Amino acid sequence: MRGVRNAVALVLLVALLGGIGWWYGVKDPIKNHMKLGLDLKGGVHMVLQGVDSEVGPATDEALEAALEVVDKRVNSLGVSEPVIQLDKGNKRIIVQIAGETDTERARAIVGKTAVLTFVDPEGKIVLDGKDIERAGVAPDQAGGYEVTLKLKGEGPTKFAAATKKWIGQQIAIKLDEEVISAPTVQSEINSDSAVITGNFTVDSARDLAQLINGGALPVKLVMSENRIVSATLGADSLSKSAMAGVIGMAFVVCFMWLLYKLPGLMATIALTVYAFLTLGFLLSINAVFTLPGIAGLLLSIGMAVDANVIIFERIKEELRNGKGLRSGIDAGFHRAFSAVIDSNVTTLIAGIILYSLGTTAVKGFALTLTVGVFLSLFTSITVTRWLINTLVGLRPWKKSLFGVKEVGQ
Amino acid sequence: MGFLTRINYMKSAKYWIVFSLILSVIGLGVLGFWGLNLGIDFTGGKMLDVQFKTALTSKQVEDAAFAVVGKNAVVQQAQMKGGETGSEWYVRTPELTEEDRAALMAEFKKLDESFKIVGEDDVSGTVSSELATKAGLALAIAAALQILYIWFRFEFKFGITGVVALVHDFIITMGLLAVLRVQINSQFVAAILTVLGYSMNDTVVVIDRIRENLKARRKGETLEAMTTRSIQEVITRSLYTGVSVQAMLLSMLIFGGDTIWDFAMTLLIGVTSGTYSSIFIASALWLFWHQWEDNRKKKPSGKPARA
Repeated sequence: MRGVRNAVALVLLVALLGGIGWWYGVKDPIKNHMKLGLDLKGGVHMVLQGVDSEVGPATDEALEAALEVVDKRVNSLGVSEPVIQLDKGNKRIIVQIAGETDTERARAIVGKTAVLTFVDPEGKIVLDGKDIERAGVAPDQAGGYEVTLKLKGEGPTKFAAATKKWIGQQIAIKLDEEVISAPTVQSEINSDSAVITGNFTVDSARDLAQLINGGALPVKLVMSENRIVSATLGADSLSKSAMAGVIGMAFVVCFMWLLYKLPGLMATIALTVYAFLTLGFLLSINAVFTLPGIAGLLLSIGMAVDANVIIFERIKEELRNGKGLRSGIDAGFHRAFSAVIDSNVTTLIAGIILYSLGTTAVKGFALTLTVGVFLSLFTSITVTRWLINTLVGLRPWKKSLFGVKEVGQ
Repeated sequence: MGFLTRINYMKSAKYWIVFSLILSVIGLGVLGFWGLNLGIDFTGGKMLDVQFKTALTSKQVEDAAFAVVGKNAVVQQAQMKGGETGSEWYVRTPELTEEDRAALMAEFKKLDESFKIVGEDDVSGTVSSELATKAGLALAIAAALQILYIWFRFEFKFGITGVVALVHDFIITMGLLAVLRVQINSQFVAAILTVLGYSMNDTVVVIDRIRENLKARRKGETLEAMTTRSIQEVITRSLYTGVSVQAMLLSMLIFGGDTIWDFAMTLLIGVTSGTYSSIFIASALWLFWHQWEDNRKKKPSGKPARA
């Protein structure tokens, strides 16, 4: 009776695993559920560092105001779900834009970290960022587009004086030393609004307006880190690492069968349970899968084999020493326990340190490695054990099926 | 693999230690003379991954880059990503101003109207020095915690010899990476810490067996014989686990594409060194330390021991 029950349990488990594998492998690929990192789906990751300068010191307030400006710039790109964070401790603004975007444009607009000024022909500053409330885009009479300006504070007074003085000449709009536009003054502008005309298209007018809006930074920002991954590169990395994983896994599975026969087969089932558990756990905590993260996952599969190997070698030893199957297996598990625990704790220590000290990319790797080691520990001492015991309960097996050649005295 | 369980490991251990010592000295020498091939994460600068629709020679791409940044640019052919035809290149330059970047793009355009920037990384000097500090800190903390754990679970001597083995793996890995000119980037920190974790893991499995056999020593068995027996008992496991981990890494190296190559290579070298060192460094040094201590105890007190 017990044999039948065990057989049913085993078949059910394998069927369940097969079902899950089929569902998430073919029917509804797991890729669609994974939150991919920028390195796998493409995107832009920028770090803007706040520095003290003539504009003012990089205080928390200044950075918060700058965050709003950056936020506006990013949103002007019309991308979905950008992530913009302020890291006050390091005085940094971190921008992440995922997916297929015009990276060149994102770079140009978000990465402009310069300070905006309006400069007259004598090189004197007429207006700066704090005088401008906002810039916008409007259609002009000729069927093109123009950039509208709304001034605030002392802006209108200063602008009126300058436009009166420089009629017919150019006032340069500069970001740091770079002239982004140099409109000619048509007439004295004696109000809080003005327009810049030119041969603008919708896009170029909007870009200029955004630069003016975005240029009103209350603090100097320097682009300290910029990483752009095109969607092509991301997809390529994903498919190649998946390929590497499948081939590596296939080798490991064959290796286990070859070395340990029946227990090797059970270890394959246990490894599958392990892989599903790990993926399931990472999905459930909404972990972001990065390339190093996937590498960590693959490596942890290689390492998950270790616990099984330690246990099976122990069992073999016990069997060779003349123990019966059942007592040999019990003794094997029992005696392998300390080695399995102690050896995994050292890897866990490395993983946890990496997680707490690492950069974003490294954190992804550390997380998958740590979770992987932990779950492999769990599956090897519970699932593998249950599988082997169930197997032994099926019928009386020969010791040779456990990879033992000579039978002890 | 039966023969592996019959080798008298500790008999030749002295020579292995000398061998490792020589390798380590060579490794340090290589590091001193050639240095590591530091990537932009540590040096600052720009790394471009550019795709052209046409097959170009490295000379052509180099000339384009040299025209803007001079001899500071480094050009290297890359694997073609995304199944396109043409050629793909890594172009590494120092940090560029917007004007220089625009000029570089113009040069690329001259080579091929429809070139594509597939990847672009900029790192400024400040970020990179911060990264190096953090990496050093992570390594130091990890090593210290490992010693504490081993001390707590085993004995102090194992903690020390285990960490000596880690230092060995670290030097060998860095030395080989320098010889192979593998690029060192932020992911390298993750790789090397994993190597240290793995090496310790391997060492623990071996010393766990020594600890067990030490408690139940056979009658008349010397310490050396006991250590050798312990290694003979776990060598199969070390080998099998090593092979399955290396199979995964080789698979990443061969099929994983060039974005992950440096990472997989670092791990592969380190893991191999880690398996070796747990037997020939950690266990052997532990044995010699014990033997030295036993000899000293046997000597009459008053006479200082010869070290």
